[in-house]
Amino acid sequence: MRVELDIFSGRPNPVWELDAQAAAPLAARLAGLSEHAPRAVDLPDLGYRGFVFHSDACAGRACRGSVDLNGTTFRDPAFAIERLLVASLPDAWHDLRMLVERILLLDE
Amino acid sequence: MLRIEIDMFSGRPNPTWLITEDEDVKRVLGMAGEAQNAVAKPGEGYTGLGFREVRIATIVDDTTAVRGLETPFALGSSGASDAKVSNEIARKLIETMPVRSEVQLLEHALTPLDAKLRDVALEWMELTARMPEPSRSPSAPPPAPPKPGANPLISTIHDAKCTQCEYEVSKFNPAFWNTSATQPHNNCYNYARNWRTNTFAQPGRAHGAMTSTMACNTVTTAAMADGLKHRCDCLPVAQFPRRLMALVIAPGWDYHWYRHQQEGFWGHKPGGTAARNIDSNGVVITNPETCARGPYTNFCSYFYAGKSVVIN
Repeated sequence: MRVELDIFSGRPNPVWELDAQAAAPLAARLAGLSEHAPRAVDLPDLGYRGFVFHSDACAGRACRGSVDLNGTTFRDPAFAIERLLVASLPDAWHDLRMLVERILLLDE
Repeated sequence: MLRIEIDMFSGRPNPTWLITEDEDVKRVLGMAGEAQNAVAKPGEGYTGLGFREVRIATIVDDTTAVRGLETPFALGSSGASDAKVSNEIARKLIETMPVRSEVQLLEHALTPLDAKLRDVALEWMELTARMPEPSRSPSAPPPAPPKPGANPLISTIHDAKCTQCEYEVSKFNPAFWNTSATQPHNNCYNYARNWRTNTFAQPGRAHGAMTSTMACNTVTTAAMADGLKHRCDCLPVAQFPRRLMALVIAPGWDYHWYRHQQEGFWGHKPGGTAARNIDSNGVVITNPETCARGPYTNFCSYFYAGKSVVIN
């Protein structure tokens, strides 16, 4: 699965791959989403815009407790999907991982 | 500004150059506009090995449109309904290929422009022209010739913050940027400079001066290596069109740019998202110093970017 943290304006966003083992918990969480949201979250123009993920099986975006998955929007009130994804950020982006974790804490 | 690419190679980058002079841009678009039977969509003609076509693309969002002429387009293409005229115009264009480009592009590292390359391109074009013709579709009636006159998409204004400086503002044209082929590959720096490089341009990268330190002074230094000037360091008319850009910083993380537009507001393009003229609160941006900017808390400065500013 290919994951992008959509956060920058000038610099390229961090992009990384999850192998099948790393993607399995995420796939399970995505499969467990059931609470439909009335509409997709409004994305801010500048700053954290969530995680964009893409694989053969699914494509979507998780942002601020909302998950757009294959065209349907679900609620994720505990930010579980985003927490899994931020934890998977490669170590090269350690500082960014901490920043996004703080953002998620404030948003929750 | 136009980007010209002779589509002829398979492995190395195609011969590519920019036409920066406004008169030259008008001449090329005028030639194509007057002979639209000679114009094809890129990739519509021969797609095999060797010379395929000359591709012409606009890379700024305020090029005067020529009626009936959609960009990008191709000349020297067997997909044109009048391939002979298409080849004649392509030949003229290739003959103007600079043997040493003033504007250095990444492609030039592997495919430097020189007279030999120009001759090879002309020779290969002849070889392709001698191939059996593909079946033709019925030709459309020729559209009306382009209107003469100045570009209504650009106007020159006096900079009220300076004594004598002027710069150009363009009509807000987000449709140029917000397409699937353009939006993901161009960022705020592309938008503010008004140059679609499709490389997610970085300040200083075109001149070996990129920075990884996200602060006003470092990004300013990198951008000035690309040719930006501080506001009120007036640019001559020869630098037309001259943009007014504003730089802000998310300290330690990122930078962001805005461009002043003809309508009086400021346009911007946050990363790979859509170009827009509103801030983080959904309010039209009339002042980049005070608009809502999320984490981009540091306002740095304003800059002019003339036509000689090269980004990548």
